[in-house]
Amino acid sequence: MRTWQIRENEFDLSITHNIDASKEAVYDVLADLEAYPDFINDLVSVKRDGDVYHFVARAAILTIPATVAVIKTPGQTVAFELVEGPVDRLKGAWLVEAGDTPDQTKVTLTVHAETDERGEWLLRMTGRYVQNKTDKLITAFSYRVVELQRGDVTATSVPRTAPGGGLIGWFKRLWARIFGAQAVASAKPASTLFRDEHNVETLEALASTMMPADEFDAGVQDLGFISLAEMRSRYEAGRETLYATALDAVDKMAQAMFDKPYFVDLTPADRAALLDAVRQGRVNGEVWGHVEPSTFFGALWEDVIFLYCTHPDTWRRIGFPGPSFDTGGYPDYSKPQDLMRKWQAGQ
Amino acid sequence: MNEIHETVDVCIVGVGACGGVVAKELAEAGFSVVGLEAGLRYDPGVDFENDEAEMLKLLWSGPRVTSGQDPINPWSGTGVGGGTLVWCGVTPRFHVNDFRRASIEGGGVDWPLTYADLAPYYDQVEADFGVAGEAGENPWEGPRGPFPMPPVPFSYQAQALARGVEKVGGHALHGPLAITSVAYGGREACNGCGFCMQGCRSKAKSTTLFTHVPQAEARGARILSESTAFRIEYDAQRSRVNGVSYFDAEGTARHISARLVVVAAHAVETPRLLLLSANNTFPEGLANSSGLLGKNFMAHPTCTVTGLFNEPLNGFKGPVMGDLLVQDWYETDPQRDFVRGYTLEKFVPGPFFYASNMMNLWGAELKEMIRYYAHAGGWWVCGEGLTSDKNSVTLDPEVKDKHGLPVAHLTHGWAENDVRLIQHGIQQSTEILEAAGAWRVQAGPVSSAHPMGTVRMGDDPQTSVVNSYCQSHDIPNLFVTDTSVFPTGGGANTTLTAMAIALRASHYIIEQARAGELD
Repeated sequence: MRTWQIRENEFDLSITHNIDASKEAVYDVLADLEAYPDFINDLVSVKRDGDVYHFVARAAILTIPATVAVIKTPGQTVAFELVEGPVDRLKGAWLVEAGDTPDQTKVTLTVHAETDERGEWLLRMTGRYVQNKTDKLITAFSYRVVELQRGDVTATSVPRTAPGGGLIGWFKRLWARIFGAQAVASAKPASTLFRDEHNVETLEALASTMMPADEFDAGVQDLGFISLAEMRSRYEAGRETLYATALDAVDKMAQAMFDKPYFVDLTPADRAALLDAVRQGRVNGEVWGHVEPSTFFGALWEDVIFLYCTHPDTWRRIGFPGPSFDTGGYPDYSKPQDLMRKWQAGQ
Repeated sequence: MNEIHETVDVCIVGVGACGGVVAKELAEAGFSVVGLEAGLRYDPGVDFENDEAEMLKLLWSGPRVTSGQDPINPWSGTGVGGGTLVWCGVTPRFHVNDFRRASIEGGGVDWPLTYADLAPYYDQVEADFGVAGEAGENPWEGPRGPFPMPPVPFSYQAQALARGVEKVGGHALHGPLAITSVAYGGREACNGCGFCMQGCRSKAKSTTLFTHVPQAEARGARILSESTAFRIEYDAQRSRVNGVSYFDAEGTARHISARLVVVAAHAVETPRLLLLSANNTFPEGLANSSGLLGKNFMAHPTCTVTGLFNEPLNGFKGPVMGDLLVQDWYETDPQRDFVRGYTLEKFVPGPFFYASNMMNLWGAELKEMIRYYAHAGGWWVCGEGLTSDKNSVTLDPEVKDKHGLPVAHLTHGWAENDVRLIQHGIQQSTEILEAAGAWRVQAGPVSSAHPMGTVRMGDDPQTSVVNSYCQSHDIPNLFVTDTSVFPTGGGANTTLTAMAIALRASHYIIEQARAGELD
């Protein structure tokens, strides 16, 4: 059984699963945090320092450190709270109880997470990620318990949880693929670049020029572009410099091209003309320094189009229902088609 | 089982389409087999999701360096199953003429084998893997037996495009697809969920993870995932390879002793591994007395061309690619200003990947294409790229991977012929879409797919690296069984042909080993 919900900046998850093993066996696996990397591929390492554990997790080729305080109630619960990591606040617990049948143990994982005021988008994406990952996590624990019972803990071909998916991993790979950038490992503190009102206004104007509002919809407006840009800058080398340079450069270009002090002062048509100059590299090189204008254009394109094309609101408008396998796929794929308005109306 | 202490008969590097075939054949013939796979082993029901982002975890993402007039880095898969995890299952055979283009048209080189040599292996791979199609429908295809499954029906999108094909006088062909049109080999028929490129949760799309690998394991083969080979070891006294060194999941260097080594790591990582395995006898790369290792790197020039229609086509339903193929412009036509040709394959992926194939658009122009996503019908043009000795895979002198080893450096430029060919393909796709009723047609940028050619096969050790059975000319117990060995690239997807070649090599290995020729 699983429930999860998002309220503004908060995310809650509860998932319950029956495992075919004794309470003791299940608790022992859950409580041995340092052994997690042996069967959870997403974890590179877990090191203990008293009641605090230092996790290094990976999402695809990105590595994310987190420090977690853990309180164990032997045989019953393993509670944890984030001390330092990628979200503002995260706490939760594993609860071990008698299962639905005498041979089973019921395991419940609860997680509560919070972010700052820009976190709705982040939590929505994280929520989807966590939803996928918890299934894998529960499966990994189930396998682990079964393996231990069989005494077969070294088998290499047992499917384990897989890294991948995850927003940051996805971007990182795409970024590396398109621009040949090298992988970066660790996060740095949130940048002040995205806290500055003028910067935020300029970035949102740039994003809306890339995917404009019109009679169909508001484009990328209000989809959380700033929190995406901020998140990527925390995890990708060179990203913050790229945005910082571009923010400065587009204002200077606004002055040179249109005699206006700032990019945000331009008309939509002039903003588009300026962005097109960036795309084509028709710029004053001094303004851009070491940053290739087309690289910034590519980065902006990628962030904006990803945000727009993966948002469920966009899907509803364009008639794409998203995941379909669990609802039986589309056996009607060779029949005449209608826009999936029922889906659009219902959800 | 992180370490294997005994000497095994065969160590296979890369457990994808071709490594899977070799593992199954040799394990079933009684060889002790170990397969090393750099990527993960996935559980389809748990790890494969209906989420576009899940596609990229199935692609090789290690660093590479690209350069040249037209730098490219065509996709390769990773994980047990290799490229067949992320692929769309499009499995055309190469044409009879593809194996002897040099003799017929000049340019390039002939293959050291013919379509007739491969035909029985094509038949067996189609049966083992599960390929759906319509025998006799394609007038350009060589003689063949029946398909093991009836064709996957045209999606509604494909039907719309097929009307355009017929209007311009072309042939709308049911694409041979490694997707179950009916229950087959213990797998259910495809439910058309539309997420082929995310691994396929239902197992309807064939991957060696579902087919060959379990069969190999049932006969004792051991597959070590997250195990990255970094050197093939060579015994200079015996003039034979004798094992493979690799990094395990924890990054610990380990070694397997083997009587025979088969490399099937695709056309970039295969030459990289052989170059990394240079030694005193072969200072320029293992088995490289010809000097051709890594040379003649090829790919297919590709492009997506998308049309918007008045009626909704819901292209996200059904097989993502290739239920409809067109090969009317595949063969060389003296009337055109280029040689060779291309295949057109129906293609509309999920919304983000759909938009990503139009990176030449932005603003209102791109927004319109996305707005009418459900009304889109599209082609993927897959053309033949000519071989060029200027294109290569080498070891980059500066960039290292996470193990500190030099990464592959891909140098590539399209030939003038390639540019003309792909432009013709774009123009022809546009005509078809317009004939079918599209009110807007949009081509994306020219891209690339299907790396090939870096360990060329041939009869002459001076001009090729391996023989027609994928056996090194220099080292009899070293084989390369993937698209690296292709002398020319054809104008269609490469996997089925590579698997047929790997199957033929496997049978040769079995015969030779039994005769004591590989000791």
